[in-house]
Amino acid sequence: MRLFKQFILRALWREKVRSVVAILGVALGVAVMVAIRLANVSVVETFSAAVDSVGGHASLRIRGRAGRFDERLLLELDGLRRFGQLSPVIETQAMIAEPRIDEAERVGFPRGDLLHVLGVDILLDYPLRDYHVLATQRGGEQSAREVLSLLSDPYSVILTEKFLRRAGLRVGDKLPLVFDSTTQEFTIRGVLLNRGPARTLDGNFALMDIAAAQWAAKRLGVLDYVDILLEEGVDPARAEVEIAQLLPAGLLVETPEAASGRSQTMIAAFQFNLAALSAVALVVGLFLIYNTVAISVAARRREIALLQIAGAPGRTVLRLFLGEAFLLAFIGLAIGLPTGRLLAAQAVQGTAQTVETFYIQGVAESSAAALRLSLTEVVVAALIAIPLALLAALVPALEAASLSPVATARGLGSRWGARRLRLLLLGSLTAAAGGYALTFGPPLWGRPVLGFLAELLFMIAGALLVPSILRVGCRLAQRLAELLPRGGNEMRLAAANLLGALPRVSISVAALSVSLSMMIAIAVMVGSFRETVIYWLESALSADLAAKPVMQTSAVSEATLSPQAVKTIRQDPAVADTIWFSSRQVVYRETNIRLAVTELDKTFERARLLLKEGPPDRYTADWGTQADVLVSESFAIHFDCRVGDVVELPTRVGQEPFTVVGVYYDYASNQGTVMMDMAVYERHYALPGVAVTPQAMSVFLAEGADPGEVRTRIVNQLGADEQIYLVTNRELRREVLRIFESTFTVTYALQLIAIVIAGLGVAATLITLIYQRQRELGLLSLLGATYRQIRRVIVLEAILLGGVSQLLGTGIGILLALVLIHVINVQSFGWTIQVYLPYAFFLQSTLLVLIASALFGLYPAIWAARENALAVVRQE
Amino acid sequence: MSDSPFLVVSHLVKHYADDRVGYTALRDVSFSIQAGEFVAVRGPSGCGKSTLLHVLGAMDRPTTGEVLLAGRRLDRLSDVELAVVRRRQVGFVFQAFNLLPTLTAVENVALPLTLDGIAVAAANKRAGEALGEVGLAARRDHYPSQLSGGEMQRVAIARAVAIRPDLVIADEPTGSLDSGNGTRVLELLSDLNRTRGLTIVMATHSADAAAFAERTLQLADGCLVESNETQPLDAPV
Amino acid sequence: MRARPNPLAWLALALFAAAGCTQPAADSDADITALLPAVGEGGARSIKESSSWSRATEPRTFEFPRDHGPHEDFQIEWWYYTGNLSTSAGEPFGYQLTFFRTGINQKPRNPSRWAVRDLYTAHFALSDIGRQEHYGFQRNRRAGVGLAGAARDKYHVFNGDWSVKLQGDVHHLQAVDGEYALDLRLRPTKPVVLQGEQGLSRKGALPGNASYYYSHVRMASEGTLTVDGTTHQVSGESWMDHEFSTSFLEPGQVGWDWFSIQLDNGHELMLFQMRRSDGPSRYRSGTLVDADGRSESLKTADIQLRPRALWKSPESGGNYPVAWDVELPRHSYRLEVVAAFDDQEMITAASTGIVYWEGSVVVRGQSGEGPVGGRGYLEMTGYAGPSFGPLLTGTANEAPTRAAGNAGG
Repeated sequence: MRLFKQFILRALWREKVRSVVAILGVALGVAVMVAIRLANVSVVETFSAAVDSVGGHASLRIRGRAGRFDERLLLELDGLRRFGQLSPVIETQAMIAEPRIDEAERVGFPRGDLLHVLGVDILLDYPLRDYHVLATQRGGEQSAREVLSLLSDPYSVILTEKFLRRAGLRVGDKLPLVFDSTTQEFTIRGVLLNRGPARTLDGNFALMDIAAAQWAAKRLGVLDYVDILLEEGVDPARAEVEIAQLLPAGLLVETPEAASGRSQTMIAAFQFNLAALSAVALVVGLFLIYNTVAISVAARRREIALLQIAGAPGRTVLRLFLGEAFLLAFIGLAIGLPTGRLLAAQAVQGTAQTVETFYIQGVAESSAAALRLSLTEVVVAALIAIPLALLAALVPALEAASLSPVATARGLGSRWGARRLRLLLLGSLTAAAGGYALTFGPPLWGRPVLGFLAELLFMIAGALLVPSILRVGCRLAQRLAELLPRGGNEMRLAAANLLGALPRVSISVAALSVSLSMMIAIAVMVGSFRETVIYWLESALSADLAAKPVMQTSAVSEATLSPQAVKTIRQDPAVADTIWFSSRQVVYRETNIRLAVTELDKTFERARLLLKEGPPDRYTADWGTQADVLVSESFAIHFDCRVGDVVELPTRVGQEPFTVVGVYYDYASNQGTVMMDMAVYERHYALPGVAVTPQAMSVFLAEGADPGEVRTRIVNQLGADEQIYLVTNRELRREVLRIFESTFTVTYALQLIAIVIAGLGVAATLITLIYQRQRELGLLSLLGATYRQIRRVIVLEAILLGGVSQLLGTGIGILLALVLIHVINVQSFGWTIQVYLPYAFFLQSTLLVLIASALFGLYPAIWAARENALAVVRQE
Repeated sequence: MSDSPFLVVSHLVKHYADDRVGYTALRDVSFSIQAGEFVAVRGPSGCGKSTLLHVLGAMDRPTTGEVLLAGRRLDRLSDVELAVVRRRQVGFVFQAFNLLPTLTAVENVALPLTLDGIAVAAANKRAGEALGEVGLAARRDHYPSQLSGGEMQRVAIARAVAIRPDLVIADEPTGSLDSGNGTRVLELLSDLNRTRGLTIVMATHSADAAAFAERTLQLADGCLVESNETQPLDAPV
Repeated sequence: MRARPNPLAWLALALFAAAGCTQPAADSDADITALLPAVGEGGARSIKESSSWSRATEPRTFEFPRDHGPHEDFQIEWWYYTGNLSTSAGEPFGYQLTFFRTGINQKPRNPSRWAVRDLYTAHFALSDIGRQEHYGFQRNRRAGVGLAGAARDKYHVFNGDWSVKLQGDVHHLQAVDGEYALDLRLRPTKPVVLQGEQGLSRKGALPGNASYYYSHVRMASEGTLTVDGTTHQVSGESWMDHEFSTSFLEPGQVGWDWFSIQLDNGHELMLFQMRRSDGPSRYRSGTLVDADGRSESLKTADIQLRPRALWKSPESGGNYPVAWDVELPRHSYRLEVVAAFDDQEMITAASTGIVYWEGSVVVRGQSGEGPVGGRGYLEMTGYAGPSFGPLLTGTANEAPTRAAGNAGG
């Protein structure tokens, strides 16, 4: 212990800068790791909490195979009562209408606060969910019957305590709500306390009577699902089997978790991608921690040797340095954990912005608010960081301990032999080959697991390649230096220095190039995707105007245009034609797919579907009369289906076969889509007595009509209570691209952070290298080098490191992008993306990286100069 | 060689103000050295030998007093000017060799030349010649780690002379070497002094080493106590 | 058009750590009552869409079987079956099966089938007298897609699979809940008895608070009872009440005690008294039916009711008089009415929140002609928990006050 105090603690204190850098390195690594893990866990937890709080205690759920089902089927479920309480549910969303809507806003893309709306028969539902409705000013809670009486008026809602506080509203106030496209004034009848479903989406939750919800959401006669609260002692698994046998053909029973798990594909994607993200963050974090500790121990080789000379046994030396690593890791952990917590909140909100559906965004936001460090997180982080730090310390400590003291004192052993380099090269090639082989693998569990593994292997291959590339790079720099008349001297020195410290800088360069490769990969993929989408937009968006209800907030939303809106649009004198579009979610092979319904004849005539496979691009009359469908590319890839195949789809009457006659490109949704003609849909799906209304319309104008004028006319005619999006082709295209860009803005921000972190790693490496080379720098000074020259050497080293990293990063990045586009994208989204290499971006990023490296090198350079290297030599 | 002294030191005082205690390394030291002289500075550890050498070699400035090297007042120069003096006028040989491990022998020798802006090819050529002079032409592309201690010191000497300095500062040049290698190094220095008229100031605590010099300055506790002609131990070769 | 390119950003995100902004402000811990309206008790007040319910003021003409069915222009209606049965081995059981209909909104605006016009509540209870066990169940529903209701063209009132149906002149009762069930066929042995003034039964001294009320006072009953999973073949006698109105209670009335007694001399007796919270003044009414089915109305002065023994419910805390002295001085009846066992309390917290005592009773005493015995049912309300108020007045009239009710006893 005394030895530890003298030898380790004092040294750490004396070399404050190095100690601080080491601790910061560990802290950053831990922070990144914890942040992403925490974000992930928290989002998932919040999501399941939201599902739980809305799903309540229901243990089973009955749904229609083909989407919503006729409410009268409920009577046939009467026999299920012996299993438990049944409660039919309408679940929808409403937007809080802005009090005054400007003309300009109406034609744009209005946004408002959204509410998650649950419509239930409170008498049946009361035991299923934890309702706590404030009764009087004195407190107390309302019974189910009292709640019902509050909601008996069809324009009544009960809102949450949290929401009311936030909005400054109280019971009795009026609130205009938009369901689909229609605005209605609702009265707030009660306060739902912050428990149970009220916790959903940070309080953006409205409780309505089922009748009122049906009416408002235009779902008269149909139900979304029926929840079952099983009697005590009933085994859910057995009940599920038994109920399945009793159900009418069009219905299915499942657990709410299965339902939400399947239907919320976005959450699944969110989760999976956050998980992948956390894996990457882990790799970067590991790199950082390893790098930091390894360098910090390597920097003290001389002391290790001295200890050995002084007669300390190898074990004691090892223990001392492991102790130092543990201390560094521990302090780093203590700083990294809270930092990670902060970063996580940012991460969640950052990622949430790119999420398509309001639902997830809400989940993400409320989870960001509720983030906290659990003991598990702390333990996990400690279990990763501390052993890793010890391992990182072990390698150089062992290496140093195995060398003879004299050799160490002379500075031997810091050079990698050709054999070592060949070995690393071989490893790199093996990893690359493995990665390449993996790209041929199929998706596992419906996810591109092997694709991500391949990406990882390519990154590893790149990392292992670093020493060789670095050596080549330094040699090249030396050659280059010889060509330079005068300034070449510093470059030669820089290159020589790096060559001498190859093992140490390789780790940092590997971290930086892996980070850069990700940036490049994403840039390539996004660029390619963007080009492809623009091309698709050109051909798919041919209508002059597009109309959809305001509440059509996501691909899975099923809000419809009111009959009045449809009529107004169709009857406008300038409107030549319209194409009707609608979609619904159905279950196909245990997956939610989208059933798109349109007027195929007109679609082919006017909208020019981009077909990948299939019929001549002309409408065939058979499509309306036979059970023929087109499928989207992602459907075709996901379900491995070709033209001529038959798909069994659930319809109103049960499973029915449909023939696939074509595969079309669709970048609007990554959900598999089956597209059918309206006539086919009406035969197989339409519920008798339930009006079929379009969810969107493409509007084609007569020759010479001005879209802007037509739009203004229609909107004026519809009045303030009909809120629809009516956008021109150009606006829509712009909006699509705007969303596209904003989606990826965050991505770029994320990249920046990764690069900053890697850059800090490089700076830390440089500082340590400089510390080690103080004598050499002193010598340079002694031999007459000015501080400016010394500074230049160090900055050049940084630039050299950055340049090599960027070069390697670009190479790996393009490789990663190809895997992303051709393997991962295809497996998880099912899209064809044309590869497009953004050369301008390569140039820009290279410049950026070089400048950034120079900046990152500047600090250590200044630091070195300030240390007055000459003094070191003088003191000898 | 001119009559006027080449290196003049007058009333040199060097005071170190450390964190805790200040201490005076040199107290009012004055002497002068003629061009082409080989002078040894002797004294026990801590007598101020190294400090004196640092001041003479433009590595450090005196607290008070004057240092005149080839007619220039070193004590009045800026850091950058001192650096220029070091790379053009002063060559260094140290006990610890002080070679850059990342450079080959020839690169190490050429380093001060290139730092001074001499083209690499020219510098390498001169460095090669210098290595030849110290008998290491065959070792020019070896790294320091591949050389023996004596060889490393010879590389250091080559580096010191390659710049054609006015003055060579040698600080315990044999300290890390066995007696055979040490003698070879001293002979080399003595040779250079004689053949090329190099002015050398060498700090040493060994009487054997001092015997190679023409004159010995004896320091004790920061004061010059004695300055006398060295009695050759053996007849010169 | 559906134009929202789905973020391939996932791929992008899959590779990177995060950035973002803002931290939501913490909730202020403001007083929650600030969310309720500033004035009045509107927080709990229900909505009157229309209140044009008919009221029971004049005697009306009854016509059967049509009048067995619902009277939807009145806000409150119930069909009440109680009876004492025994197995062939002589084990005694009592039962209660009641269907309530409460009008909520005569003409809902909302075309949804789920729009609430009426609310259907049903109570089902079995008393296992031998074991002194009372089992109570309840249902509270809207009609919806046919979950509950009353047929207009025939006598069929149902709440899920609890129902009463008229088949010929037989009333077929069915109810089941888990291990407990009832399936009985009741055949009236006497014609319908119109209670009060030709079926107009006043509930207080003031006019306007009254109901239309008729009974089948003795119905030969046969069928099965399932208790704790064991099905028994049973027979015995039942009593049916059908009552509809819009306003039962006068202000200040807190509850009532109601007796239906089938005597072994072939007579039946119906009695009730309305209790007030503000004093001893009680309104009493009743009907005495003779063996031939002729009925005579009883006024307050004709009836004397004296509680003899109290039982305190451990669950609700209510103090119920479970034994009564009943005297009809003018008709020379002195009866002792005693609960078959004490705990026959019905707590319906989830459906209506009402707590009352409804149970089988044993009757002993003297008539003018000598000793007489009998069986019957006794209902006592307003002793614990919220009163029948909300159920009987629907949602149209008054806000329920739970705070007072919950105190109990």
